[in-house]
Amino acid sequence: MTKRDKLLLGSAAFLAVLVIATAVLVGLSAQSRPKSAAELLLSGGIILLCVLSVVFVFLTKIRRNKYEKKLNPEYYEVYETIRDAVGRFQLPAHSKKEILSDVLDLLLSAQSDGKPVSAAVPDAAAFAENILAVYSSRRSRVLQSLLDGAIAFLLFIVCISAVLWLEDVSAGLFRQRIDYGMLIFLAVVSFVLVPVLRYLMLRRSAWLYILPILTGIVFVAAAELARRFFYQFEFTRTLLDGSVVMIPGAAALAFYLLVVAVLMLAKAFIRKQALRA
Amino acid sequence: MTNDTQLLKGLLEGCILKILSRQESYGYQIVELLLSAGIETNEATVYPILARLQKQNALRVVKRPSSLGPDRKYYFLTEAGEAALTDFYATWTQISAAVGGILED
Repeated sequence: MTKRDKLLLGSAAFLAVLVIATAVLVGLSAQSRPKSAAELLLSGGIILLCVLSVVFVFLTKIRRNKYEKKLNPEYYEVYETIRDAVGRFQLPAHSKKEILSDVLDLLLSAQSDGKPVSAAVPDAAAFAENILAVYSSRRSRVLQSLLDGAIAFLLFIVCISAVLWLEDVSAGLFRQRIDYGMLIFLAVVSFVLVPVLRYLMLRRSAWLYILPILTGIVFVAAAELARRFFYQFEFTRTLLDGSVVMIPGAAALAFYLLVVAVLMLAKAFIRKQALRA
Repeated sequence: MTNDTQLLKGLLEGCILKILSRQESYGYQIVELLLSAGIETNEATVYPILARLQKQNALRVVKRPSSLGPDRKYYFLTEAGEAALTDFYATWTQISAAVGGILED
């Protein structure tokens, strides 16, 4: 297992343990009152998802196939960078598989000839970017990234409303309010943070781990500064303390899901067009 | 010669087409043929060019088993590829004559 594999698996396990511990602590703190079936189901679901997430990380990111096992550590590190980058490409699964198969053949051939990996692939990230440029234009990548952001934003709203509802089922799904501040944060995460993190992942930059925490800190600090210095303005008060029902009824929920489906179709269409071009 | 000059990248495409007009070949072998001809290049430069040519239908691909790893792609020139090679010849002849004239002055 490479350092990156250990870090990945360790992070996934750590995150899973943290979430499970939180779920257990919440359960213990509310021991005095009887739990509803929905609460038990939610806790069980969360724990199961946590365990499955670690298994998923192992199966998709760490387990090597019989050919990947033939690569020595230096070659495997380069292959891993390319594989991770290709994994994030907006391409059909069969195209990704084909690219990785070609890359594996190239690397295994170079390795068996005793060529140093730096001579075969001087810059793995640039190599991955060059491959991506063959299959999609910059314009289609930007468009797909925007659609991804919109899909993520809508799904965040639906999921957060559902979680808030499960916390207090009696209030009803269509009465759950989301803070304006939270909506802005979700928009920043969906449209800015996620695309930036994708780029940093490709470059294997240390900022990948720092930026999400930094974004959270900056957001909270900005909110507190606004509360301290601009609270006299109604706009600031609404932004900081206001909330809104984002899913006011079944029709709204159906509309959200329909929009997500349409956006996914649009993404698939753009992807197909880019492949044909 | 370094492998990161734009000029070389443009010329590589023509050289790859020429190699494939003589014989079918696979990615790594093409790199080795280019290196043996004195063109300093590598797998990371050649593979995206092959992928682009294949996407433009200038190359046809046949997969065959490899003793090293997964099935290996063998590239063949198509009619579109032959036409692209002819275009490259014409452009190269014109440019090399013009550049040669300037350099000899």
